[in-house]
Amino acid sequence: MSAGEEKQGALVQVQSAALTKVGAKSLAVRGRNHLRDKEEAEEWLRRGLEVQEAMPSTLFPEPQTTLEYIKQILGGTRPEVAAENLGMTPQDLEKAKEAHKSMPGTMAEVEEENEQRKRLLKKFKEMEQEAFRCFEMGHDLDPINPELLYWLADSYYHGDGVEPNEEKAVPLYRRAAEQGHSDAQHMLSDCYGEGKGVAEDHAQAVQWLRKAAEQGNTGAQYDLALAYKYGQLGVQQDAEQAAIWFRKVANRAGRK
Amino acid sequence: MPTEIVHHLSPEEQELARKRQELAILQAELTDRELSLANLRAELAAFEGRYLREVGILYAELDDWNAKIAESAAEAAGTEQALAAASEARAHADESYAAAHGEASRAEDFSPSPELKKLFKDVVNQIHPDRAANEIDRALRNRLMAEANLAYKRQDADALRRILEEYKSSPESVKGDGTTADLQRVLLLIGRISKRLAEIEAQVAELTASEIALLMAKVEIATTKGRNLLAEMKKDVQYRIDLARNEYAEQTSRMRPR
Repeated sequence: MSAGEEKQGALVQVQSAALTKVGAKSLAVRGRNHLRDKEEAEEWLRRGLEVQEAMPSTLFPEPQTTLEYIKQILGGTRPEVAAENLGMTPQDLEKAKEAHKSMPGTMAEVEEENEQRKRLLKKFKEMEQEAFRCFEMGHDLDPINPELLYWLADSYYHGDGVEPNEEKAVPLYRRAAEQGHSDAQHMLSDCYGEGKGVAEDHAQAVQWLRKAAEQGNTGAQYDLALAYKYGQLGVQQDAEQAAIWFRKVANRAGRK
Repeated sequence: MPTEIVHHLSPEEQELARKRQELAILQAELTDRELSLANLRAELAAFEGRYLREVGILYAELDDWNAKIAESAAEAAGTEQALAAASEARAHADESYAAAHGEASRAEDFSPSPELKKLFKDVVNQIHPDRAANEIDRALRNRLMAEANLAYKRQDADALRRILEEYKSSPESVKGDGTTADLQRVLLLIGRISKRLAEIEAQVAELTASEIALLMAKVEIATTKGRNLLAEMKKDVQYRIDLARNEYAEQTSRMRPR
């Protein structure tokens, strides 16, 4: 082999080593991007939960007094229908209208209150959509994050911020449940138990319910206790087992 | 009258003594810095090897499935655009494969024993090129130092011992005679070591800012918080591989006449 050939051979080797080096670097870059995506997904989750947290738990407080009932009826677009629903006769309604005139609080005030409720409802819907968008963005970045899977599934299941779609919810619940997410396991059990978004399957329902209960999920423990007590979901009635699971729930509740 | 013989140092001799002291301090620092540079290099190489073996090969597998999908789509569509996309996907997959299964992926875990560290320090102390007395000596030291770095990286104590032996058996370096010559030699060494120290700093900075170092830092920080990021990444990529495999199976079954 001449010196020239030797040199060339060495050069080729150096070049391919350099290429591998470039490839290794691009894999490192990819790994860093991957981790950044996962962090961003966590951030979307945090934001989505923050939005949920900020939502008022009830938008329509139950009317507390007769006055509020009457206000609600008279403020509605169809007081006759509302009165009928409440079991009021037309005479009662007339009396109520008379009474209302002498009450503090005018029709204008009632209407204003309804307007406020409409605005609140709109805001509420917007917040639900915002939370859903956050979960969706996060899920796109990290499709196996169990927390994001669970919340996205929940949004579909309850139709929070998106058209309700149980068929879409079930596989998402399942992927979170398979990773040990106990709330997802409990929900998946419900879906199987009631045939929501998936064919009814009591064996599956019990299997997931038990997994969640054994992980200490209080809701699942309660449902499992009920299943034993009343022999639901094809479970053999068993007062002793029911008592064991009820006690776990009670102990947990007592600690809180 | 008894005469006391006091040896007064000439100003040049005093300067030489000061500079020798300065040189000794710099030489000790040089040894420490060479050791930490070698450690950093070896740790990065070891992490890179682990990363490529655990996660890299999965990326390569994912790229292979994506290339297969692109190729079968190109076969079906037959358009120039689809063919170009397929060959690009295949090139990308080849690159990932070469990187994930290449030399770097074979780096073993680096956990040098205190003895090995001590041995490497001895080697640096004795054969660092910046301690060379002359150019011939320097050339020999350069070669041995490069070998020593590689031996340390692969945690090969025997090789380090052989390198020490080899240097010891080479002819003793000749010292210059006379204060002036000595002082010049010391000043030259100080200049070289300072330059080398600056080089080491620059290399450490470059290595610390490299992609693999940034990735390693992330993984290590997560480890202290009880998270195994490499395992999480593996799970993610495996999931994407499963999706791609299904997509490929669907695509090819659609294309085949039943």
